[in-house]
Amino acid sequence: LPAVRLAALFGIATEPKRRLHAIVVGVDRAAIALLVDRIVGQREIVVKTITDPLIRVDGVSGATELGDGRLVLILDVMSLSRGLRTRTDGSVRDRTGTTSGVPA
Amino acid sequence: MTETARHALPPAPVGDTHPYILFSVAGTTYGLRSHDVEHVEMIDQVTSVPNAPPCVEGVVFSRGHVVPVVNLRVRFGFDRRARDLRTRLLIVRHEGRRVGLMADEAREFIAIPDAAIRPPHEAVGGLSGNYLTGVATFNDRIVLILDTRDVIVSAALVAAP
Repeated sequence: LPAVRLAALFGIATEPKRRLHAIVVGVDRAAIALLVDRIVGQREIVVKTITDPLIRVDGVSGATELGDGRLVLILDVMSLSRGLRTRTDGSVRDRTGTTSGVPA
Repeated sequence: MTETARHALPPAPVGDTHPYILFSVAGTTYGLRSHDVEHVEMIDQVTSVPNAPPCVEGVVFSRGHVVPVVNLRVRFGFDRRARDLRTRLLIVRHEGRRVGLMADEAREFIAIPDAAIRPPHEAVGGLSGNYLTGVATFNDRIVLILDTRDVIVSAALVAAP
């Protein structure tokens, strides 16, 4: 399974960590593991689509409001995993060596 | 908390006078036509957006809308500064878009006669990337009048400081 550090994908500098959480998304050959710092929770949300060009970025499809004024970005898993197949910056580590088409 | 500008409208503009919202960024006073400003609010929490243009601070949720926040300090080429109690977000509308402009402070709503506004000096206009439409001088004050469209539309092109 290709494992991707979300921070690297988003160009965010982070301290190297010994423990990360992996969220496996997608099925079969399209499955990837997104490595994140922390799992905050799980909940039902209403997604608001992001349309303004200033904040329309790859991998983010929308946002939702948590009820306390904070906004949470919603990832576009399809676009993230599609983007991975063309990236060569080393943010992807192929743990199994069996996946083709993903830069190691 | 919201400071609604529209409720504080002065008497209808007489002749060639228009209402402006005044705000400051890095020590300079700027003005936007109040017609373009939907409301002004305090900033609570901004969610940063990965890979967004450098002057985009992030997004906020304002009156049911997901609104991008443009840091005017960065937009105008100054250093970022920590937000404080005076920091304000001016929500402007342009061609169906809603964009938040983050200023160091915004406290005034004022009518400026068109006669007090001169076109920007050629050199200044060029340097500022055309977002200045004029320079207003009145009561010993200087206010740079901004073009809402240019501030927003070319925001994505501003490089990191």
